[in-house]
Amino acid sequence: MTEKKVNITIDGIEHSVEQDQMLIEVTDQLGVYIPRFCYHKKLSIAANCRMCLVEEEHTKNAIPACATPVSEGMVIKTKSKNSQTAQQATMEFLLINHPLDCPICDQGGECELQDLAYLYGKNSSRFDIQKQTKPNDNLGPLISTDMSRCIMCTRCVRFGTEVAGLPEIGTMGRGESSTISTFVESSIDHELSGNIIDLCPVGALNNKPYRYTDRTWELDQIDSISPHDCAGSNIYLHVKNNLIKRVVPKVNESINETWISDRDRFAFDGIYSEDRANHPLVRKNNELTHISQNEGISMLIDKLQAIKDKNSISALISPASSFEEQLLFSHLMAENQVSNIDHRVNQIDFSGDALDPLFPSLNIPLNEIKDMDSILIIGSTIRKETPIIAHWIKKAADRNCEINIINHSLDEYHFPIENYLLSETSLIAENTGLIVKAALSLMNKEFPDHILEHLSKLKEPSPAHIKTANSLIGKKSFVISGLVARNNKYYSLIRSYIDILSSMTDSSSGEITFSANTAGAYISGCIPHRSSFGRTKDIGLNALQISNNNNQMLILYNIEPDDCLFKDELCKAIESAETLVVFTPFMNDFFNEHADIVIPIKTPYETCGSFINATGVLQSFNHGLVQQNSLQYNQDILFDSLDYAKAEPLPFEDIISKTQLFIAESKANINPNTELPSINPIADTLECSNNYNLYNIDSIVRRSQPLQLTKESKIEPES
Amino acid sequence: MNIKHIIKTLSMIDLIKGFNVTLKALFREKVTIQYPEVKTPLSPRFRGKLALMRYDNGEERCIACKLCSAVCPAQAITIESEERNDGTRRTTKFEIDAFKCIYCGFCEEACPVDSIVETDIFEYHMTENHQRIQTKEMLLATGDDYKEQITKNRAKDSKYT
Repeated sequence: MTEKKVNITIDGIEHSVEQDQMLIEVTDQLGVYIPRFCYHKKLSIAANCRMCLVEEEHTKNAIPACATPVSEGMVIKTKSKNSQTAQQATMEFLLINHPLDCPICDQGGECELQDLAYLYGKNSSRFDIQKQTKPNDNLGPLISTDMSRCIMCTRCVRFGTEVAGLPEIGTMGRGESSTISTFVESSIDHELSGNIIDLCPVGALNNKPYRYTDRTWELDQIDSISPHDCAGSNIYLHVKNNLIKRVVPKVNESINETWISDRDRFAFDGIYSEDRANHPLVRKNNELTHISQNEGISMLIDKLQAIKDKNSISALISPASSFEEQLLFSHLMAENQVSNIDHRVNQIDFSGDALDPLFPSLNIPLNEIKDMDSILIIGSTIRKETPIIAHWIKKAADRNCEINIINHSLDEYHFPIENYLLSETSLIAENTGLIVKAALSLMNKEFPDHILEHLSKLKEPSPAHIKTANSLIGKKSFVISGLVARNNKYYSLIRSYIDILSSMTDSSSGEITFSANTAGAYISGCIPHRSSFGRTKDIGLNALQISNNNNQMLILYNIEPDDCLFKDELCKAIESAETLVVFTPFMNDFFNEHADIVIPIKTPYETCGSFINATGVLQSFNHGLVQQNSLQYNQDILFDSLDYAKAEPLPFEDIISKTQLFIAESKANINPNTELPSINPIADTLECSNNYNLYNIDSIVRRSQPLQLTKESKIEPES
Repeated sequence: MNIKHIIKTLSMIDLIKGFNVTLKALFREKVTIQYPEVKTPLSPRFRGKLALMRYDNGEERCIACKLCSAVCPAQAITIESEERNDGTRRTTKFEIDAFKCIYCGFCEEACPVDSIVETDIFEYHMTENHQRIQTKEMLLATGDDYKEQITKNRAKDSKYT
């Protein structure tokens, strides 16, 4: 379908532009700036600020560019006398009640009102009556309010209804007395709510932890990637004197659009917590004493190489570490014949390891989720796990996509749900199986006998299962599993069911993974059953077995017991290990008491590296952040260790392009898996907690003051 | 060598002219002063050592807007700020490096609350390198000590601004 074109003249230049666009969209594309406050490309049109008034030759009055569709023969004059008069008059009105407190306003320097008053306003006001003041709501620990500064553009209100999906603030009152407020006094708790800070064109809604600390012109901007979830949101770190002062979103239309979650925005505070590990330490006479970095590394390697029984050495690395670190770490372990290496501290069912894909992935780009007609979410409190992916699903729901959920807890969602298959945690797998069975009965497809036999053992699917299965058939559909499924003791079974379901119904399927770089951990070989880049190796012990193993040496890289699903088991392993080596950015009681060698590392905010997100996109970050004190980059520590161990050097120059090639190749050769795992007996004995706390997921988030003050963080996980 | 030249040389007319200037200068009013016993008068616009001012109730004027540090061409001003317990924006650190300061007066012009001002003080010294950093307390103390003079100077200058 070809769009109809219309001819319009803007500032004396003729253009042929597509129909059905608003004038302001056209001028933005052409690079002609029209001032605006209420218009935002991601929000609906309100046309209430009137700042975008421009002159059109055939119309008597100036027209609002944001609410006027382009039509044939329009002659727009954005800089004519009439346009200027209209804009100046609007600006004069806006400034009637706007306080002149720019010197103490945090928005000062990046304020749209300030900029436009300078460019389009008059020098003086004819209004000298007392300015209006408005009461300030307390919106919780993340957002500060100065409502007297509000110019009623209603961007925040529209964000609440259209993007966040849960209207938490609204407009109250009429005319001069209208205000933006929560209806009943309460905090704003939505996981994307921090974005209204960026949306607010004035200083009415602002960043509370950042309040009054720095001015915008003092900050340097560094590109980075959020290390807290698998979406890989692009962010900017705003840095002064080598300290991160705030985090703002970086536009990436294919990942996070212009939004980031509150977790990405406020978590960085955790890296300035008091329990940072600053010195390499070694245990002498039961006391941790300072040593140099090189001494620490040499001690570690000497001990590692002295142990003859390599099976009693185990290593756990965090999926939040960068890909380069994981690669070097797994190489260091492989060079020392250690095969017990894992990153999956949030998984208890490992029976499907042999069926693992080369790396877990959503298999479709994030921005394709919005084009789906039917989505089935299995075992995921998706809003808490990955707010950005939940946002894309919300966008699909806005297009009347049918959404079905299988989960163990009833959560509030910002999209309508067709069928909510609520069950106990242990029955999530069965529920998924019933949908497969229902789909099988609806489709006429050939399937291997052992799967048919397995399915025939299940009970009869209920009408809800059949409806859910039916919604996946014959449409653009997507099956997504989440972290609750990962935690589940029948995880492998759930995943096999999903694979079978997606090949049966021709739908896409994918998986949300823990932390920023689980895909990277798979590719770099931080798993017991595969070496880097999918090569085979001797199968070692998995994370759970490592915790139950009789370890002579246990190496934890960026892992804290709190990160772990089987925390008690890991704590026992920490206590029982003869030598405990920790590479950690933070100290905690366990490490203080039991660690034998402590090597401090940096958090992803301070080091450089790459993350591979849930869609297999490799993104590098932080090449610009200057080093704090004398600590090296994390990679350098591992390079030094490899040097000392006289290990074969890893070809590192073209590693990024090599990895990208590997990802592209493995994406192209996905073989749909239709095998069932053998049931793992160990998992049956373990109890797992499944409630996912938004602000308890990694060591940085747990230490972030503002996030820990939120209502959300006070919700206790069910056990 | 002509006759004119010979007469001019012998009569020492140039020498007499020169002494004449010296003689006049001997009786002219002296411009040199006996510094430091005697001092030159200063303009009310004189730009000397910096100071921070307070309101009459003792509250510091500075609101930590950092416009002075932004405008400072020598980057002599370092400010750190926070929200004080009463909810106002205040500095936690306000330091001026006296070696960097070029006494241009831009900071005083930029200040929206007339907090940072330049005093008449141009004769001050330090014996240690670190003393060149003037802290917030020192600057406020200067402001307190010279408040009268600063107000007088501003009053004198007010009709011209």
